[in-house]
Amino acid sequence: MFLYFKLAWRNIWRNKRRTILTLSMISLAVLCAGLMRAMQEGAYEQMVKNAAGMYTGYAQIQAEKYWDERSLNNSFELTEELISNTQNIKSVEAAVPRIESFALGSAGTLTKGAVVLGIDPVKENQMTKLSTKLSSGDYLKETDDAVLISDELAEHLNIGAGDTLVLISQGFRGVNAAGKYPVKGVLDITSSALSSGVVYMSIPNAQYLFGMPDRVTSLSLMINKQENLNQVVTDARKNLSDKPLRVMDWPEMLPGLVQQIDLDRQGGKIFVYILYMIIAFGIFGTILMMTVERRKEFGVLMGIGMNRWRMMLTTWLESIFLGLSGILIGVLITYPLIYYFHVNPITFTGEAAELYEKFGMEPIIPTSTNISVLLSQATLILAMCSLLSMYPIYVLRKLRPVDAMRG
Amino acid sequence: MSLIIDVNNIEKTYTETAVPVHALRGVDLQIEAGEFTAIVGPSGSGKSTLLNIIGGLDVPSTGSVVVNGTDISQLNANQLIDFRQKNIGFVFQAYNLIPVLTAKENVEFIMLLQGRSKSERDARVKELLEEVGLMDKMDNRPTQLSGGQQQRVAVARALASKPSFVLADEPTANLDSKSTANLLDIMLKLNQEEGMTFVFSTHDQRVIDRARRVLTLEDGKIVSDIKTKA
Ligand SMILES: Nc1ncnc2c1ncn2[C@@H]1O[C@H](COP(=O)(O)OP(=O)(O)OP(=O)(O)O)[C@@H](O)[C@H]1O
Ligand SMILES: [Mg+2]
Repeated sequence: MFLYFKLAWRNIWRNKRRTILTLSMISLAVLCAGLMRAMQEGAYEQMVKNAAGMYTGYAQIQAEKYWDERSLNNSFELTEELISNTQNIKSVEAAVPRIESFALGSAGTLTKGAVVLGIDPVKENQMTKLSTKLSSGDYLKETDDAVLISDELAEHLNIGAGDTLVLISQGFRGVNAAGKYPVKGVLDITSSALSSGVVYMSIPNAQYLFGMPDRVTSLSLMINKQENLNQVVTDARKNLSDKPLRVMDWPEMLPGLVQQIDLDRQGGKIFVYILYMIIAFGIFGTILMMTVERRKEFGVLMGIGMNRWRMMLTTWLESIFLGLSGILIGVLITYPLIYYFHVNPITFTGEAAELYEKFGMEPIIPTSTNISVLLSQATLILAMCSLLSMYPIYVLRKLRPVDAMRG
Repeated sequence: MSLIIDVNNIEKTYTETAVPVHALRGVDLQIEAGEFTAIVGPSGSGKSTLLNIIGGLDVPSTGSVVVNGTDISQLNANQLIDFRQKNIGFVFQAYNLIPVLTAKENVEFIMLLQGRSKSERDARVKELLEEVGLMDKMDNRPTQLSGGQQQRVAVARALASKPSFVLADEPTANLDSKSTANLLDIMLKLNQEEGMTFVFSTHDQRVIDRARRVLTLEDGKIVSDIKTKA
């Protein structure tokens, strides 16, 4: 076996200049395609981070029927065990519980419908940086018997920090729910998902209001790296297999975002395919030359008794070595660059930046360091080289030593 | 003496050409172990065609070729490749050596294909390179060897796996007279010391003079068969 590796490796270096040119071409392709795709994937990761990270989390644990029928009746009991089991899953950074429901808010003679969110003030702040959105008043404490309201609700009801809000609703299993709360702060949340009236209170308060001790409607998971999502979801599902709970990942919860990303990604891939098609011609040129100029040699080899399979294996290895070397050089150049732009992300300024910041997002696009971006380039190139090596294999299949040696 | 090549009434007609070419017209030939035989004749008389057919590189139009008891006209292309590897050593006129391998590796090549052990290979390579006088060049690539040295390596390679005979089609055609004499010396020595059978074609009178049997081909037929210094 070693013989074929040696032959193939030395053969590709017979024409150093041509090989160096071919390798430069392949590595340049890896660089262009890899960097472009890493930027694209980085932009998607940022989009997901903004969308999922701001509200839904990368995944959520819910009662089985909750997603289809968002009622408090489809809430579940949040035990210490469930929290710790979830937080112990590898790559999970935080498990953030919530209660989500509706209520009628009123102050004086004014009323307006509002989303009521029961939150863990500390965890929620870590996840969504809620406190940075305060426009007046103070952020909520775990023990506070108070609420934060969105500016829209404040305007409608004509109240502000220090005033009192009355909430009327229906609680768990139809119990009456009503309460009176001091407003501790007003939040400027223009974010689309929760644009209208929103009321934040601590989870214990919400549980008391809705008559659902120990229960919540969701547990959102924050993870360290998006590429670990599938592993986390699998682990979480395994943990919960004996409970009437379900784990939804963000693609399930945000199908629109998935579609948008997929569409854009196709565009990027088409560019990559076109690039590789051009590169394929270059590689084919090299393989073609390597085949044509060695016809006599092939004839001699076959003449002295090297069988076709061994010769085919050698020429196939030549193509593969060519591809692999190009990939290796390409990756060695590209990965540090990707990493650099991950640590020092492209930052935009001006109006676009302001718009981003208004929605609570950072105006940056870090490249994705997900290794699969480069791996898929490598796979493509190897598949291409393998395919192109069909040419010498085809020639060898039909070659007769006497013809080859006569030239 | 045992018969190793038995050619029975072969004809070869090339039909791919506009006018069919009768390259061989009824050749009978027996070669025994230990011979040192030259095939001579004018250009186009069919020397290469005959050697190619004996070596299983080409097939006759009619007639049979029996090598070491095997009728090679019955073998398919892949079986022929294996048969050549095990039974026949080849020295071609040019492009004999694998350019990316050193002299040593070239000699070793067929033994590697045959999966011989390292110690066996090393011993044989050393023995042969010594006999062809190229021990000091064993790590040179073919481009770092003269034409004569390359042909000596080719002879060493042809003998490496101990085939039953060596076929050489004009092995000295590209060599000057000194290298020609030198290659002939080596072939004769291997013929005597290893008892290796050589069958070669040539135009060169100095080569013909050293053969022990000279077959003359003319227009696809053997017109004389002279045994000298028997
Ligand atoms: N593949 C082929 N197709 C058609 N004709 C061929 C082919 N090979 C050889 N011939 C013809 O067969 C005849 C014998 O050719 P061959 O090569 O055997 O001669 P030769 O004795 O080796 O000549 P030389 O001394 O020039 O090498 C020639 O007329 C040649 O043109
Ligand atoms: Mg000839």
